[in-house]
Amino acid sequence: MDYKITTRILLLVSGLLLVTTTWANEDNLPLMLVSNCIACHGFHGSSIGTTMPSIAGVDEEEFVETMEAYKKDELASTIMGRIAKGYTRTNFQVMAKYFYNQEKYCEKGAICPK
Amino acid sequence: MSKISRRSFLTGVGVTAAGILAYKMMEVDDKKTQTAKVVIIGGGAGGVIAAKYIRILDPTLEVTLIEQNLAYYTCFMSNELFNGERTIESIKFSYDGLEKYGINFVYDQAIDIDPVAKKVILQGGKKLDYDRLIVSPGIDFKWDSIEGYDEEVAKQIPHAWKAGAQSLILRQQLEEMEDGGTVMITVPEKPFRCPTAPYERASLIAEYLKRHKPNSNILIFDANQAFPKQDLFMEGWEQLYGFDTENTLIEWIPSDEAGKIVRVGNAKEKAIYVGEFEDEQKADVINIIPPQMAGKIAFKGGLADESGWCPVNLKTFESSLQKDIHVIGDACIATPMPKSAHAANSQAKVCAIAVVSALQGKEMPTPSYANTCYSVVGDNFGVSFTAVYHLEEGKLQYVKGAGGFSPLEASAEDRKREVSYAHSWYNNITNEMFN
Repeated sequence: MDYKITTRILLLVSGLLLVTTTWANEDNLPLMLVSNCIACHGFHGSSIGTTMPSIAGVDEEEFVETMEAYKKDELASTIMGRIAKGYTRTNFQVMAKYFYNQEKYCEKGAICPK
Repeated sequence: MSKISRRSFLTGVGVTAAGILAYKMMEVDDKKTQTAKVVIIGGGAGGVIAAKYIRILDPTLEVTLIEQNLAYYTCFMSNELFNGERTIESIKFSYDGLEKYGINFVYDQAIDIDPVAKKVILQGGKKLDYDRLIVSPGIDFKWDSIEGYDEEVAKQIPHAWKAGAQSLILRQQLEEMEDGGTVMITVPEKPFRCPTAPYERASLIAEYLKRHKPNSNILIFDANQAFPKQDLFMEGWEQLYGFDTENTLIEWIPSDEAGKIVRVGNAKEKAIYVGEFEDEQKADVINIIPPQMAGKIAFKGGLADESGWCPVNLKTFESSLQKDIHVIGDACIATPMPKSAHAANSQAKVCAIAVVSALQGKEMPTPSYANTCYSVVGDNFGVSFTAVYHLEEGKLQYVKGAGGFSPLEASAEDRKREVSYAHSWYNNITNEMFN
């Protein structure tokens, strides 16, 4: 009986250890990827620049397909094509999800998609 | 109990005890995490972004930002003061907009770091404890490298390489210069803050001269043989300022044509001495961009190496020389990232994620880095360089096939758009920094 309890505690403790040490840091991943987008397109993707478009609230699929088109030079650009070539389709999907959820931050004076 | 079961039992107890101990230690760590102190030195393009994102990522962390000035003048875009596009007020920002993130602001100068006791010593006498320190001090000048040029002389012959009062001196001198005058800019050997900015400055001064003092000219004395975006700048100069013709407004003198400044005459003389034979060159307005190194505090903290800049682990921006101290922005060595505001912004975000991950005992996600440098060459003529970087065996590498320069001979429409994007970039990056 003692043995069983010990085993249970052992399992419990190792379980805790497992949970703590393998806690994936996924929260930070979108930020890492979107950090470059934000620098030009505005905090949360909400641009107060005069001509740089906002990307907060853009439809996810539209975001990914637009970026793919820039990447393949199917869409003309001054700089986006050069930047898009630095990221993968999976990267675009992470970015797309992040910016879709930023619509609420679209600032006053920003030209937002919706 | 059999021998085997006793052994299992004892092993079990041993492991359990270790497990509980580890758990207890984690509890202690957790408590420490909740009150962990992050101190940041420098409220520029790197420092404020690091402070803001650390608070966003983990509001339980105590973040203190040490900055010596109440207001910040962005060096980036300050060249537009010289063609008259901007006022000094348009590049001035206060830190008030960052209050909502719960960052503690200490308006004082950090004068020393004790990496053993983990303390920052302030000019005012106070000492601040840190668990992690982020140093983002920008640049300082190597005052002893050009004979006759020091902080005093800089009041007459400005460097204007830190924006603010210095920029205004240069602007006033340009305004007071009579038509037919000569302006000179001297460029130090690489590396220095904003590698394309000397050429952008020369361009925008040329634009000012073209409009208001068309019989004047500007000479760039360069300690280098080449410069970034050279072909693009020269294309713009040809289109806008008669470059390579008899009536050119701009001339560029590379190092092998006696481009490197050696000495400055006294301020009244308005002369510099260049090249191997110290040829005398006289001008009406002189702008000397001195050779540079990491900000002073980096040396006090033992963070800089013999190059004058700070080596770091590029995954976390932790100093290679001091534990638990990170260095970001112009002061760190992040080759091939240039010393630019966008690069500092990118490094600050990677560093913020690294610091939060470390304090939370989490694994850091794969870092991603980027840079964009716009240059305004003149009226409706903008060009850019951009790059995406990733970490490979501890070194930053360009993501293959990505980035690069604006194309040569682009359409007038694209050149015009790049000017407006440069301005948009400025609005957005400063909004991200100060709001």
